[in-house]
Amino acid sequence: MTFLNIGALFGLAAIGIPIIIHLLNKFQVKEVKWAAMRFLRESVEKNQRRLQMEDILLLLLRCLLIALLILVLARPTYQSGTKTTGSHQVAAVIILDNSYSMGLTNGIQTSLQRGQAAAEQILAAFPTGSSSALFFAADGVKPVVAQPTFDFNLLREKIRQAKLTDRATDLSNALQLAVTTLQKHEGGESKEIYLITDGQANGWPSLDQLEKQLGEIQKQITVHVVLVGDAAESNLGVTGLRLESGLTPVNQPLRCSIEVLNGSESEARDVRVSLMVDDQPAVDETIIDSIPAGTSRSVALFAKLRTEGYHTITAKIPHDRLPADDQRTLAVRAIREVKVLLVDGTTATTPSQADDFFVRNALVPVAPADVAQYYIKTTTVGASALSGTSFDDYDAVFLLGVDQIDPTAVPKLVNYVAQGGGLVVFPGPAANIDSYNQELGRDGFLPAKIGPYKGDTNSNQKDKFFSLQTKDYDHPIATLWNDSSAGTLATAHFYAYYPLTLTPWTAPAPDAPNPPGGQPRVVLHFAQNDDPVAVEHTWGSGRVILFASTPTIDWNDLPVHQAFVPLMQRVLGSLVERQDEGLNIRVGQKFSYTVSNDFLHKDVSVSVPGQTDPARVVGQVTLVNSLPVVQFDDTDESGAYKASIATDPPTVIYFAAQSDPSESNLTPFSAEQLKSLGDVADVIKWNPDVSLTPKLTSARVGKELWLPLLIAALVIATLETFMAQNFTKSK
Amino acid sequence: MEPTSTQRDLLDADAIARGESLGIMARTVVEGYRVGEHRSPFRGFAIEFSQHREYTIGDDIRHLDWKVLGRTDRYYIKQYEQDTNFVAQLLIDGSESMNYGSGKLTKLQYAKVLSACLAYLVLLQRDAVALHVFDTEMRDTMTRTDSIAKIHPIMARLSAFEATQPTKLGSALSDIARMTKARGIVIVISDLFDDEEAFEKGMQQIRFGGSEVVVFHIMDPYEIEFPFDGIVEFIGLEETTRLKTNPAAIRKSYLDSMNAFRKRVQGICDRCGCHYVLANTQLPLAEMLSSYLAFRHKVSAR
Repeated sequence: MTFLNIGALFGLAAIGIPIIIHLLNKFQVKEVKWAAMRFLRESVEKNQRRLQMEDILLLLLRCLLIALLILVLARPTYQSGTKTTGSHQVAAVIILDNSYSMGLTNGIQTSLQRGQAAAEQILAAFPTGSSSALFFAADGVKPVVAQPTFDFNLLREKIRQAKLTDRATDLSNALQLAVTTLQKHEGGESKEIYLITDGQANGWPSLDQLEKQLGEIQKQITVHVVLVGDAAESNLGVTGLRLESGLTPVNQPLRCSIEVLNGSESEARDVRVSLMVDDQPAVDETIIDSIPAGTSRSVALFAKLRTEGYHTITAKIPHDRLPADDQRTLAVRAIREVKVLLVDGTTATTPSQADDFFVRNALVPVAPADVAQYYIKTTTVGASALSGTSFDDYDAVFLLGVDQIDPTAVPKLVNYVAQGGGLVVFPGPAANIDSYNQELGRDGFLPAKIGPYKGDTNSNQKDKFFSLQTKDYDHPIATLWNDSSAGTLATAHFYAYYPLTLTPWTAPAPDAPNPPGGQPRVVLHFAQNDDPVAVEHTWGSGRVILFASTPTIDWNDLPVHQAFVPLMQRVLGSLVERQDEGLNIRVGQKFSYTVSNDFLHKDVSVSVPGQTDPARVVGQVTLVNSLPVVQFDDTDESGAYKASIATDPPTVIYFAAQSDPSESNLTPFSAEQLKSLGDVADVIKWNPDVSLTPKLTSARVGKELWLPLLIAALVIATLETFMAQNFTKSK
Repeated sequence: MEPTSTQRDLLDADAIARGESLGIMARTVVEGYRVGEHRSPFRGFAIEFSQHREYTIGDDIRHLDWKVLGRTDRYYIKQYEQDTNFVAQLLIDGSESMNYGSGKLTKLQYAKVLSACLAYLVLLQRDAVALHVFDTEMRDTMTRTDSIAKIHPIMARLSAFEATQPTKLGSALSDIARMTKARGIVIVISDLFDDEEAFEKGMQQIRFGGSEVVVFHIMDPYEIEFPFDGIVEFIGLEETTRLKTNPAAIRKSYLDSMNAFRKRVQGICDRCGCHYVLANTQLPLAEMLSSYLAFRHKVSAR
């Protein structure tokens, strides 16, 4: 039992009032000389005992009435649990989810608007003297009011200013920050966290861990989870947009893979998907006849980029109740030509035996008459000329069957890749693997260490071979073959290969500078033993791809397979795209893009998606790791951003922020999840028609007892009046 | 002797004016000592024929009815009703309980005024008045007089009296019964707060002597209505007892007791063939007195 107005309990002293009045009445006696004492005595003797009893009863009733009235004013509360606040002020943190799923509208209000209303109700329900902080949270935390403040007007204003972001939901960071904030907050107030969210199950990626975390703080901090989302909603969303063509040449059809998720509980039919370039009318579209409930369907659409430079490609479906995921944008840089340097390691007598033969034809798969018009230009040099060649003229370098790495060429090659070049390494049958490992593999430049070959190098032994994986192509270079209509790699036979051991890599500490080498990733592996066939990693601004077998048919028959052409195209594409992969970022991620030295210290202005006002200057091109870089932080919205560098004429760079596709899945918490969450937090399903105040007050201080006490006081008052009247009737 | 202002206050002009026209008519036959307005129990030969009776030796033959003797040859004596005056014995309760008065007028003052008025009226019709004031015993006695001039000493005695003692009504009545030689009217003016048995016994003794008794029961309106509020401590006038109580809470019980008492007293009077008159000191004395005298006149006329 606690009292909300404990000061009123001093009023219990007023119980003395009826006693004093009673005593005063006893002493304030009127004296009357009386003749008819005989009759008076008879009456008094007959009634004295009853009169005394009535007096005491009335006195008790009056004392009880005053006690009850004082208790009503003291507002006693009863909490069945063991938790008593002991204090009525609250120090709180309100976390308002502003991820894009909160943009779901019921036709009247979005979930965010409901959340804002709930937040204001929560503010209104705080007892006098309470303070609160305010965080906006999606997959990151924005402490709008970082520390609990008493300025509720400020809090209300900030709540009303809350804007949706296109970020995904991950409230665990916000929750952790709120806990830390409250733990550091000094004061005797009870501590509460209000987490206002739409109850999207995906927003709690690690619910078990979160529940454990909530359970640990349960005794110190009360957590209220206020669910403002509507019931399970249907939603279609574009959850993927990928460029399947390895390269983005001008005027060439580019294959775009678009994934559409049906988050409904029913099948979606006749979903129109459109593809637009630079926000122009659709260049291609298709209709997906059916998407079963809870599944995704991918379609391929084609676009052409008419001019060299930066463009945006947008996939779109008709608007539904969650508009944020109805389109997805990709920024690309159209290129007019790609120059590739092929370093041929052998001196073959016939062109077809040259190490560059298959690769060159795969990269330029056109008739000789059309080679000049084709956008990929190859140049072949011998291994001996490696050190004397300037790599800067080329977008990629292929080392094909080079036996011995010239140590003098290595630093130039490393620097070239670091500056954004691409390197593909195919060791030949006679490769000196020590030379590779020691010269090229120094400082982890190669993504893997090359081991002594495995298998039978005699290609006549056709019955012993290794084959490539048939499914689960994860690496972007190989994902094309997840679609069986795109052909297969699995029919290629490998008779011998160099086992590749991935270069050890550890993630850098948050504050440490990034190492030049990125995490090695397997592009393809063998079906039989999972040994890598190709491994890649980034190096500075470039990329290195290492194959385990020969670029010729000496150790495998892959070069003579149809799939070799798209494989080489996509390998080249990944090298060239490496330069532009900074153009596509996740929502909320910092945009950082290396540009030409000519733009150093030039002003950069950025217009965000949907912005109609003139772009604002956000900074200058600055040097980062000795490279001129354009940077932009505020990428909370998905879509195409336009960065203009103040040159004459302005240099325009398009980049795109893409939201987390998982946010499109609006599946709410299951009943089991809600139940387990309810064990460690107070889960409130918010309803706009019902005020939160009574529930929160009840949760905070227990059930208020003033009403039953007031009723009891009224009953006592009525009883007292009735009895007093009855008693004073002459008897 | 000129009356003092206090004495003059004892005569209620209105009461006397009304009472004079109605007179104190002796309800029963009184034995007077001179001819007056009241029938005498003694059958005389003076004025109004009453009855015949047979002649006995010693009768005055002047009263023989000669006509009857002539017709029937029997000796009958003619008897006549003889008017006489009466003696009104005014018996006034001078006990301390009579000192109570809720307003300015105490019961004793009311009794004094009533006594003075009655005495004056009686004397005015040439009847005689004797005055007795008693408490535990006879405190003041004034022998009978039929002189109107004696009204002043009567009033002086009345106004000089102060109540200081408790009541013994029964013994006072017995004393009166003993003192009364001839039948007359005994007018008892008292609050009757005494032993009811003694009161009844005294009444019976007076009635046995043949006197008519009229009881003026003097009551204060507060004694009748008991309208007190709050906590009141009642201090006994004739006793040292103090009673602290909430009068409102016991009003009904008190009034029941009081009404029962009045009924009992009235019952005693009825049994003794006496008039019982409730004299509420709140009512104007003239109204009460004229009302009673009118009633008495009506009864006497039958």
